[in-house]
Amino acid sequence: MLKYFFQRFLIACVTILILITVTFFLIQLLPGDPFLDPKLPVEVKENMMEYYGLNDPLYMQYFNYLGNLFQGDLGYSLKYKNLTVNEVIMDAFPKSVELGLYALLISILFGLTLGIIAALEHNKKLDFLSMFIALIGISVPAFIIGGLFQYFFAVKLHLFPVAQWQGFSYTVLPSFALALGSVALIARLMRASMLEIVSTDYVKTADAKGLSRGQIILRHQIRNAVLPVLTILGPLLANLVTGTFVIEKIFAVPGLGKYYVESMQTLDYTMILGLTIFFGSFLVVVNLLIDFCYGIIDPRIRTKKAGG
Amino acid sequence: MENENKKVLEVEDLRISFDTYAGEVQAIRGISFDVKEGEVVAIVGESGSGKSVTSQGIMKLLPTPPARYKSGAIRLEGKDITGYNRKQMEKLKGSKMAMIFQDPMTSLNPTMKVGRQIAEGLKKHTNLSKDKIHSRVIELLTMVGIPDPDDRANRYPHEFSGGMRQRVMIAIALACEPKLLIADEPTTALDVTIQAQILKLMDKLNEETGTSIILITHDLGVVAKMADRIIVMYAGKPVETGNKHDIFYNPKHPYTWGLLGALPRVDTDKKEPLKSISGTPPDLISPPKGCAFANRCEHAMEVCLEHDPAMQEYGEGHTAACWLHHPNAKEYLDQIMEKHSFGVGGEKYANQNAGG
Repeated sequence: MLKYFFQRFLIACVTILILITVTFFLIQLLPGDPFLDPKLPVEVKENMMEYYGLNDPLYMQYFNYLGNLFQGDLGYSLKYKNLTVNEVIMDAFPKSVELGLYALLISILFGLTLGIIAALEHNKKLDFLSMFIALIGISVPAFIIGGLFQYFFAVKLHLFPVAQWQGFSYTVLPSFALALGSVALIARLMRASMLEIVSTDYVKTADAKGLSRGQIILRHQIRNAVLPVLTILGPLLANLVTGTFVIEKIFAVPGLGKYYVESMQTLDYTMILGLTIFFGSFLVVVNLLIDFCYGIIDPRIRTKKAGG
Repeated sequence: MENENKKVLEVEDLRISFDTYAGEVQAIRGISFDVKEGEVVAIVGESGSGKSVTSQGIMKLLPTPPARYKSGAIRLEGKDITGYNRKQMEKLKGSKMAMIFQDPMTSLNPTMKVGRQIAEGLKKHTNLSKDKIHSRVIELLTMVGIPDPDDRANRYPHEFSGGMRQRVMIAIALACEPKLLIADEPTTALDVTIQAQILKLMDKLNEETGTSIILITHDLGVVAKMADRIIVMYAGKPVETGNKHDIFYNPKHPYTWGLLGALPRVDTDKKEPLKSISGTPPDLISPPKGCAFANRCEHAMEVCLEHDPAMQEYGEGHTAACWLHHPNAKEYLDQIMEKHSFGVGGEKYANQNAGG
């Protein structure tokens, strides 16, 4: 068990290092530099380049950056005055995380429920209804869902505030809007997985023991069916926490999404690098945690020396 | 003697069909048999002959729909359970009758400890305390020959080998001391040495606990070892039934001849290719109106294609359904019997296995 965890951890570290390196050099391949403003006098630009160390040879920049990174310093933003990338993340990330976590909870809760109901009522009305909801969740883009939610639940029904980020009631609409796609994804996956397990031999064994339908579903079907769903939770969480630009924009949530997109447009090197590394590491860590959870739920993974 | 004649299970003219898009598949087209206390009854036949459907039909494990019970009666210890619903069956499954399946690698829940999987049935059907259940689990594991049962009960199925898992399956099935154990090809997925161990174990448990066994198999070697009575099935119907002696020494039906002839022999020096029965079983969506085996039978007569032969008795408990034994076909049958000597093959085989 410990060896398994250590192994996974080591792989995760290597992955992050590769991510840093590749991102660093890819950015350098982009045409232009951060100080493209034509109004900027050439002398000022030179000063800036010198100040930020952008005139140094590339390998030196790389090792400088790595050195700072190991001290936890992601550097100053090249665009925002006196703002470090660390500060930006500290300020904006918690909001994105809060939104993402709510969305994840909603996805798991509603996704699993819909999937299980659909599988149990296979080819009946509830199955079709669940899968219809899932289809909408997958095919309608977030900005339309967001707009519709605002129109109906905020403007028409006055249930929740339209936008902004000032308390729990403000989180409800963006969380649901963000979650819908993942709800659909989990529901479909869970349904397929449940249907596969209904016809397995061990469910038949459970049936032959005389267990009731409920006992079979709870003890034998759901736990095994949840495994594939668990695998996608990692990427899903990372996705929900980070890939929320559209929803954050629509609901005026001051999250990280804005900075990510802006930094790409303005070639804010340190910001791009910092955010990419941050998101990347986040994804890797979440996947690592999922792997550990997997080991706990599925005993076969814990020991690699599976017996026959 | 009185005890021996008590019938645990009676099946009467059971017919089960599956409704599919292509039409009604008549998987079981009328089978009748009974199982006495302590008896081992084997159902033999090739794939698709209805062995498994029969066994799962008795346990009501078939999903309905698509499966449909068309007619017939199933009686367990004299009680008619044909019309029992799911709730009523739950009380019987696992307690009065139990089942083990073909593939032990997939028959156990991979995410549940083996001990718990055995305990589940006990929890459901008995009022034993937690401690009692635990000691019963250990007792069962010991009984089926699993070493270090205290430790093993806390392990997951993937930590067991195939043979060990089948032992666990047997422990699960026998947990509540059922009257009837249905074993659906219990050794097919195991390698030969393990097969022998599992069969020996089942034989031993049959003797010790008096549990009756229905043994579903396509392996006549398995049958020769264990079965008291044999039912040979073909295309959803029994074609011949009898005791070990009848089937191996005095088979009446050409399909039984074929099965016996297809057994690999180790007692001849002659290098000859393995025999097989050519052709495939009939389509059960529209079964032939005559004998179902006629199109594969090398001795088929005109009457076989037109009329389905009825079961005839050839001695106590020995029945077969074949026109060759009709008085009008006597000459033809004599010719056939002269050419082949079916009885001899079976005899050799039975002896060879009795030793092992």
